[in-house]
Amino acid sequence: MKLKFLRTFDVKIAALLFLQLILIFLAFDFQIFMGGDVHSDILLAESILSGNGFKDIWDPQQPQDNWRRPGMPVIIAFLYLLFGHHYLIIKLLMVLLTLGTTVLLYLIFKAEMGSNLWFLLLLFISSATILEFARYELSEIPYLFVVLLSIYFWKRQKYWATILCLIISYHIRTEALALMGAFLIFYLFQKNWRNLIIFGASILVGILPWTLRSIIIGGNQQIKVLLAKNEYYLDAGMIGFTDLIQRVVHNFKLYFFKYGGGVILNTEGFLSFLIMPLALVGLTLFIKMSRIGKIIFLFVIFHLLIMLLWQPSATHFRYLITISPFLMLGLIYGFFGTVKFIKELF
Amino acid sequence: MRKIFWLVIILNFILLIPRFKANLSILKRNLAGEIRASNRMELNELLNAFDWLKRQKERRAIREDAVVVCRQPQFCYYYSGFRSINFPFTENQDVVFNALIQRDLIIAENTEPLCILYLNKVVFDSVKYFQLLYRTGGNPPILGIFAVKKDEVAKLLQAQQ
Repeated sequence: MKLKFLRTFDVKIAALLFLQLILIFLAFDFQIFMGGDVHSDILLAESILSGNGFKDIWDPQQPQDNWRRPGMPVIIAFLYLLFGHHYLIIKLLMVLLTLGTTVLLYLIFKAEMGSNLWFLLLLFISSATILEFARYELSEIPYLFVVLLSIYFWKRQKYWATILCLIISYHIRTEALALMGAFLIFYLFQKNWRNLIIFGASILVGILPWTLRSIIIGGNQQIKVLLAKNEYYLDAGMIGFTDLIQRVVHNFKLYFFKYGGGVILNTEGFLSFLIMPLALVGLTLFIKMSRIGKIIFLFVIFHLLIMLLWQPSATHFRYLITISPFLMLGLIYGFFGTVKFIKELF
Repeated sequence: MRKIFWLVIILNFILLIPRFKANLSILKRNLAGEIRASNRMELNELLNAFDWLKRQKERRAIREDAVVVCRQPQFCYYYSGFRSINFPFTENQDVVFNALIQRDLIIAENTEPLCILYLNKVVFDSVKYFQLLYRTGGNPPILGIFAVKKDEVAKLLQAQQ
């Protein structure tokens, strides 16, 4: 009985998770994340639990909230309902989801990556940014978990579960549009019209209620901020073509020359200019190796496009965290591919 | 080739050590019950100001329905229980002033760029209409809580009509 259990239980992954748990603890901080978003999400959760709906209860007018996504507040409301009103329970969930993300990476790439899988998993568990966000009550880790879950289900051909994950991810973070776009463009390239229509229509039905709500209560605030020249200096007016180019160049420099390297390896951004292109080259190479390679590549590219267009004042390495495992995977294949190419040259 | 990548992985782990070392004292203080150990001094001063507001509310020194203007309205409500709004993000001082006098309390922070850029100038240029209730140490103080002098504002509005 005991031996049978050991045979089915992967000791290596269990040891890896145990190591990850220790690393998370060593980087842990019991303080609530003081960046602002968590407080909004908790107050929105309190609003939901008090039966007021999705309202900014901190505001004297208590208007309907038209900025935050409903995903995190709903998760927090559920946790608070079950375990009581304390933010530490959210932290605990983040730790569990970070461990769950490692398990999903293992399950998704086990067949594709062979021995390279352990490079990916070790890079992921030793990532300082992942360890940092494993203790924050923010939406990055839940979103990443749902993104990976959607890919996991898709790989196992559980398409309805994939669609459900896509819809959930959109309600956690708006940038899920990149993931949805990746699946739809994939089917378009494949000329798989049946799946394109099923995925497209289902996603549309799934995201329509929240989108309509946003429109009814004054339009999508995030679109408005995206189009503003500066979200903290509204007198500056709307963005023009030259501003857009400047914004893209500014964001490109930061993501490709500073933040990228720091998210993929613990280099504080050192060698970012080398690491980011290598990661993208690696993702291109991975397309040929795996059926999910195309989806991942499209997702990463669309995600980066959104990040390049976003407000420069909000440019931050945190927006790369949700694609960081894929960039790590890209780095592995980019590194080996480039070394092989150089060897062949000489 | 694979050996090089193993070295990269090992280096990645080694680079975590200084971070863990820096976090160790915070972790120890956390476990000893000092939950705000990792906060910057300015942030702890802001949280202390919210605690002060909460105490004033509990002893009814400030009306329960008073509205606070500050940089982080969610923080204010979460920690003090007072409803709160942002000041307008504009350099038009009249717009900011008109927004302030409609409310009851203002938190002006001297270390925060948004406050320095849009709020503080208006408060300090119109001291006649704002009364300092609470201030932190330091010169200039890290932050101050001001009450809107409703009687002075009423006189001003009357004069304008």
